[in-house]
Amino acid sequence: MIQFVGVHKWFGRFHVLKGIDLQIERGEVMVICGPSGSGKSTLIRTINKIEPIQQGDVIVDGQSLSDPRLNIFRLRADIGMVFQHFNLFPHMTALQNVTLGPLKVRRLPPAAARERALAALEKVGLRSYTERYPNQLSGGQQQRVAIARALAMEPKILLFDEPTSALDPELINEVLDVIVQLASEGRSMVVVSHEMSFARKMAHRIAFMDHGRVLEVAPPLEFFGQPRHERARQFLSQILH
Amino acid sequence: MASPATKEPASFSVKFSTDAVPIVNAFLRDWFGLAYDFNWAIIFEERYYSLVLTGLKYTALLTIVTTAASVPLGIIVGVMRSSEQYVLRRVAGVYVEVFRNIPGMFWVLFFYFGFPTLLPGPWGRALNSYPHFTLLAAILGLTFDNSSYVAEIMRAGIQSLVVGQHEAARSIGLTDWQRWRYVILPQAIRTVVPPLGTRCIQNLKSTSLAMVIAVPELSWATRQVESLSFRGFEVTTIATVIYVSLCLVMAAGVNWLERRLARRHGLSPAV
Repeated sequence: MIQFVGVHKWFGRFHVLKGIDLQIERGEVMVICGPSGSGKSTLIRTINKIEPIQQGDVIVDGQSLSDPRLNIFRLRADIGMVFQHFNLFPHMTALQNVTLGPLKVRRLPPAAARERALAALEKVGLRSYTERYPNQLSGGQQQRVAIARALAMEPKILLFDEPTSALDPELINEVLDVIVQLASEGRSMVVVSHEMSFARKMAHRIAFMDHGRVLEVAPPLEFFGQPRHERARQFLSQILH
Repeated sequence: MASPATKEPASFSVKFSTDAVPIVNAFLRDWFGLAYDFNWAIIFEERYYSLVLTGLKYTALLTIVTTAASVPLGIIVGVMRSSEQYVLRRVAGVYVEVFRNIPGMFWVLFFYFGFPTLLPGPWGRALNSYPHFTLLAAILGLTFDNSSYVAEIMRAGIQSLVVGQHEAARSIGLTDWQRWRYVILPQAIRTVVPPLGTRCIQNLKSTSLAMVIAVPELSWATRQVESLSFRGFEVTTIATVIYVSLCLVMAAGVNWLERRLARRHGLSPAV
């Protein structure tokens, strides 16, 4: 579903991604973890080309992102993304946030777009918050609206970029519950997260990154049981006290 | 029966003014030590107040037309200046620097004297003989001048948005145009309403520059009344009061707009 082929990226002179080769299968839930600054977020953001890459290629759903004939807007419509800081549109209600994509990108008639948005909000448990503006919602609720916004596009792939890192501890679970439920529905998902218990519960495979490289890819049992790489061992011992 | 009654107010106003003159003069002389004999009665002479009223009309006209033209123009230039396209960004940058760094008065003079001579002969002559050419030149000069400031305010508003807004808009598949139309501009415009309001008030006052090409607006009328009556203090005081009143009305309008936008977006209005 998603294939990274020798991906390199530089921010100015800083070499963020140093030759990433990684494949994510259809329907697979992959959690990417690693210390901060390791390039996890940058990597996940190359999948919908929000970050351009300088070398190598990313192939998403059979389409090469470096193909000049690629319709990136159409591809992005099929890739939902949830951000660390939610990035809801503050001038729109929850419902308007979720309806915008179906209406303007999918070009559904208003009634159908609204219905789809309501179903997505229902799914994240916010059916009764449709008329609230983002600043009238808690962090956890905002992030669930953001998930609904991604879901309403009926994407083939869902990307989560540290979805709970900006949340108060007591609000993390309401978001994780929604993500776990989505993971059980057979959609391809890539999740950058520090929530290891959650990774253990829902990931099919875990990729460990450090200093712009993927050092280890393994199923959770194996990764948490006997990490092969020294850096991964260190990281786990720091994070799972 | 009806005619003497309708004449009453006119005679009253003249009477009131002449009666008030010594009192006001005494007040200014005794309290402020002003060695000037005010004669407010001139304000009630038709040949003078008609100049001031015409001035008010032209000031209002210039303000409305130049604001209505320069705000949308400035928004477009400001968006171009924040564009991802290098060429658009540069063109807008040159536009802003050209109009911002040359005094507005020079632009008014340029459109009046320079512009028609730069055009091919018949076009220039046609423009010069256009009956409202003076007014048009003032409108063009003031509009371009003001639009460069509006563009910079707009750019600040656009840059104040976090990149996450662009990223979220792109991630749901919005095209560049849709991203600006539905996500970026509505937020940026809301952000710049207060500074834009201040800019519009400045623009109102800048319409006085049109006097250099003898557009009969309020400042020109003030000079005119002074040179005809030698009563500069009186007429300037009146003009000042008019300018302040117009600015206050405009400020109230901006305030109302700010609160309305805040309410519509579920935010509490700024205190």
